[in-house]
Amino acid sequence: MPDKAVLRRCTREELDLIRSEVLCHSSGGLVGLDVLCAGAPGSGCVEVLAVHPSASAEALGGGRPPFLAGVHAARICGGRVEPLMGLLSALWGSIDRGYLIVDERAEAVFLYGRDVLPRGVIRRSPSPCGTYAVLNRRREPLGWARRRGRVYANLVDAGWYLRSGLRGRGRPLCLITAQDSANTASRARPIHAPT
Amino acid sequence: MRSALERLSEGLTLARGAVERGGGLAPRELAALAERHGAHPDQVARYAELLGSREEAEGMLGAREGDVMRTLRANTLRVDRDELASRLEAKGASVRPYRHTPYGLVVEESPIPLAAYHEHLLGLFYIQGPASMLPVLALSPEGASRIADAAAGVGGKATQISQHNPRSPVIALDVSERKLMALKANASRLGAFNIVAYLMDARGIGSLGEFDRVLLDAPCTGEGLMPFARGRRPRPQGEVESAARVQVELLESALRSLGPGGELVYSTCSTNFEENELVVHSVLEALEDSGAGHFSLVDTGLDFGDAGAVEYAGISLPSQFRLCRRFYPHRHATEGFTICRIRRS
Repeated sequence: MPDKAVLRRCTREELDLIRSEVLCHSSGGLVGLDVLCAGAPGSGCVEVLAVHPSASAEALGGGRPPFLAGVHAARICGGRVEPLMGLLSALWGSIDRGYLIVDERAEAVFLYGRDVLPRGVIRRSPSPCGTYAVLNRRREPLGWARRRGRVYANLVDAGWYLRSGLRGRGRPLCLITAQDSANTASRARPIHAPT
Repeated sequence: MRSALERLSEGLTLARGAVERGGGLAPRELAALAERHGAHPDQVARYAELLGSREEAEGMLGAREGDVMRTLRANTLRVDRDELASRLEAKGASVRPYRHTPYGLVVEESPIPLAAYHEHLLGLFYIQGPASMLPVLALSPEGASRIADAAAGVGGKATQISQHNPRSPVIALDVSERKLMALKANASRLGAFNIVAYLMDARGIGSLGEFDRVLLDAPCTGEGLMPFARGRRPRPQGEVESAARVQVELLESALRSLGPGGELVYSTCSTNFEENELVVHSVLEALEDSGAGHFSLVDTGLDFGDAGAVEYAGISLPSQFRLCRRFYPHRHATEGFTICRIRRS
């Protein structure tokens, strides 16, 4: 990833990648939000931001590069989209496919950074992308998982916010990466998470 | 024509004199109270001078965490206050509405730390002090077209502004990269899509154009956090003076960035006169004299709190300073806080 990536409009190829990931989880897509990118197209990883249109105009129109605009939604690395927690925020209330609804025990365990076992799944909606939005019984998004053998491997979950999200490691906008990654989440120390 | 800093210095000299005189308390009494409460004798003198009696000063110094309401802010972008209350109560918490706000809850009891609730992880609420919630209410950013949070920190108030107005850009500034990383996490968790954050000193806010609402929750001595273990430390008068000098510069820049008819809320988590009314007075007078526009204090719209201070250390301010609102741990069960609202004509 470049050291000084600039916030910009996404290329058509990037938008297509993001759109297909979004459509795996929501037939309505991203409603009322712009998608911006940071990082040189085709080189390394590109950061994807979901931004209210008023804020994207602000972020792109100013002379000064922002540290952050909107919500960090995903990364594109090697032509593949890695969804982050911000994408779940953007899709809140509109996830109607590509999801797992899990029971309370699986919810608690998942928010500790663990995988979802088949017995914790109440309902599954197929995902052509291979990634699943993990939802609780209220259909509130808990994180992302990917099928690995019999289990659904935790890619990232809302528990990272406490486990590692406020340590302040990391770099400016275009360089926001590791904190949101699955690796960070799975390495982090569990917290007490009630059901 | 005197600058805001020059005006401030004159006030600080008078304030220092009052503190050196002990705020009316004997040196032995100052030392004893300071030692008992982990404060600096200058602090004791400031409180005695401000609150008018030894008893009130001791009431302020003696406030502890348990005297301050434990509150959270329901994220109304995702859940309403009643539903959140029901969910927390189902998990064993005891909560009631924080009636001075439309989304606050007072937590009377909780079997687990607030941060550990799934509702917190999922962005249904933000843990925020009872006074800390008030500046954004005073700002009333609904309907504003461009809003700045000039010292945004971790984004508690910037995300609160998003709750009030999710459709206009909220420009958040801070000099700390670490804090902006936390702001990023908070914006993502709470679903605040309209924040644009800049890693910059708010004294340069003029380079970002005009705003119709500005929140300046200024860096301060944090004396309002004395009830909490993390905020309990001695603060000599020199520290207050240093903070006030920076605050004057920040406020002057922030006020200059207001468009006509725009409004700014100035707040600190401090009850020191020097960091609040004196700062505001110094800047408003200097701006008026320099022809930079007409600025006036207006009602905060808050339904509680004490009136702003207009007499301190022999300094008399115009009566409009009563429109500011002051919050004390021992009187209001909040953090110590001061809030002023200023309008540019």
